[in-house]
Amino acid sequence: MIRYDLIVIGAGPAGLSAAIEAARSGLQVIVFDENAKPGGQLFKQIHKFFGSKEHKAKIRGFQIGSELLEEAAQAGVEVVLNASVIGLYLDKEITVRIEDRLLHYKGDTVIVATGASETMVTFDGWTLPGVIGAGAAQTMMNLHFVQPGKRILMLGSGNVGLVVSFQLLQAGCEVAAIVDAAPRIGGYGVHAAKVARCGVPFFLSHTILQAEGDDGVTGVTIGEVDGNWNTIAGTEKHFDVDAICLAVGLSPMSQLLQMAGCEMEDHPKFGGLVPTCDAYGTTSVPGLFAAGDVSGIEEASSAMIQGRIAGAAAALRLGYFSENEFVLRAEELERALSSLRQGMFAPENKGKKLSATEEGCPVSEHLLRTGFLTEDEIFCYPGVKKIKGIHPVIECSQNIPCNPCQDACARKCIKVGERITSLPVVDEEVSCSGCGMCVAACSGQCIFLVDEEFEEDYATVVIPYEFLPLPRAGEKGIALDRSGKELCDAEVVGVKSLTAFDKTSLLTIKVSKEMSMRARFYKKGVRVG
Amino acid sequence: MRISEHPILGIPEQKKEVEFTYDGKIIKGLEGEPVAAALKAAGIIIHRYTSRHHSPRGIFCAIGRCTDCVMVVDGMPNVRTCVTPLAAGMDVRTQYGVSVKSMDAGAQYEVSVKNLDDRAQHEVSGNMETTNEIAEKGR
Repeated sequence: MIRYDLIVIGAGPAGLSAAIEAARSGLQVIVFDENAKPGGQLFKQIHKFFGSKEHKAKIRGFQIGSELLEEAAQAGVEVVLNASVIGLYLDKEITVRIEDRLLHYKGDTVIVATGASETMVTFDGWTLPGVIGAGAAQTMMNLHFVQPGKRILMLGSGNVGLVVSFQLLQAGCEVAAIVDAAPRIGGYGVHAAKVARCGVPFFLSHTILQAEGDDGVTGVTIGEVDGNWNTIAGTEKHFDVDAICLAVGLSPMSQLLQMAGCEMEDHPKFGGLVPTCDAYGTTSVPGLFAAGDVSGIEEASSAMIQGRIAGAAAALRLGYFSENEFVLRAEELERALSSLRQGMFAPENKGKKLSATEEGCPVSEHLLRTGFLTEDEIFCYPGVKKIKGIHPVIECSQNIPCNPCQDACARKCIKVGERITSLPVVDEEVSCSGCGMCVAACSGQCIFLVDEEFEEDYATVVIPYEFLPLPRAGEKGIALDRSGKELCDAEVVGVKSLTAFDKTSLLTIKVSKEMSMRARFYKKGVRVG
Repeated sequence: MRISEHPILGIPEQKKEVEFTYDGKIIKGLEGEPVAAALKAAGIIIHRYTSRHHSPRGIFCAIGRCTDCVMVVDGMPNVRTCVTPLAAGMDVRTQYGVSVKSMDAGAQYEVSVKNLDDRAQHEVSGNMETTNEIAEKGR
């Protein structure tokens, strides 16, 4: 038996963060992970993260993963891969299977950061090859560069469903539809708007009736459900698809904690069976902590902070932190965590129907049903103002924890304020230089630069663009509206790809003046009719 | 289909192309990528057939958790192809129940599966069948 000050189970965002925090305080730390590579699911996350600077906002998930690995190496954390922890026993002893051997370790403290697994729904044909988890789609395309299908239907409109749908489009796949049995889109409105303007239709209050095919998926039929989740006859719709992606939620992988004898609670708010924990992740078993999704489903950003807190708590328990040092560090981390847990998607708002933002702006039902705001609605929000000359139009309509737009603007033309969930306000008194930093910094890709005085009859719209092939300046094509419908002719008059934009290119398209507040996407081609 | 260039991730890391066999046929894949990824890139999506209902299964979770993608690899059944790195010369075979189907035994095997299915339809209620399916799926 080998002894360590701290054993961390799981090398994802929470586990690595916990290990880094503890190792920096002087603990001897070992991390076990069953996978061949560390980082958990971070390396599949290719979108820019939300939050503020302290949460690594506007950095893409896989880059955050690399940063964490570097930090762990510097802190002297030992990470053992292909190592499945199969037992967690009394006195914080563990058994680990590494290849064909079973090894026995003891930790003076143990942090369980095993994450979550995808939940499933069943329907006729759900076992057919081609019906896959959304995580599988991410793994195939973002790690292994293999398309999970040519044309895919997504079930689930939470952030996972929305983000993976966008990633499928980036990987060159077609997304036939996003379907959800709930009456409203579950994820961030800005994520929905990104896919909607690419022309992906949403079907809320719909569910999959059947996956079709004999040897693999060839199609799918969906149907509308009533308030009691019963299918309404005659509402069936068919799509030819070769893959169906399920993004219907995650459940904590808390089996080890249960095995160790932790007091558990079954909590729908946390996504299932979780250990009873205090604010530091301390379970009912002294010296045993939980951090990240295993203690309640959230985002990777909050998992990283929870990990740090649990790491600090382990350091306190073993005397590497004084009570005073711990309180200071914990306060700082808890502040960062709490700022992520505010706003309309805060844990306490889960399942609640909100009618107005913190600022009193109406919540768009249209957005929640179709994935996009109407032209009439957008002027309700403080980021959308009629201003002469080039200016940002921020179509951010929900209180989500995010403020990179404020930091991006050198001229301080965008204000979010102290509360990072507040809607960004465009200050009409400050003139915009048109640099585009805010457009590229917005993790939700909801900022556009509009210039209605570009030419007498023409306006320009700058749009964020993360697809290949990248259009060229001078190219003529079609402007699409927020729903992805063809709107009018458009000419690409500028394409900017700067290192500072981090792979988000900025397309400047020229459209007729009256379309400046409607044109929100661009595609190559010639308009029919 | 493989992604040759990605707007965010760029061009994939160069990996050596290797040959392996799928049910005896020679196929190409990239060394070190999961066997399942190589199969998918080659258009193969059926990894195994269940023993009771002979229904096809393929990739489901792609991270080694669900065990739906198991195949017979180098003679070893129940190998999770989504987390098994491809190596040159690997012998990958469709798994039937928990074994490889030999050509002769295969015909007989299919008949016996059919009989089982027929019996199941007569004796077992619809609900029970669904439960069995789920249990068999083991998710």
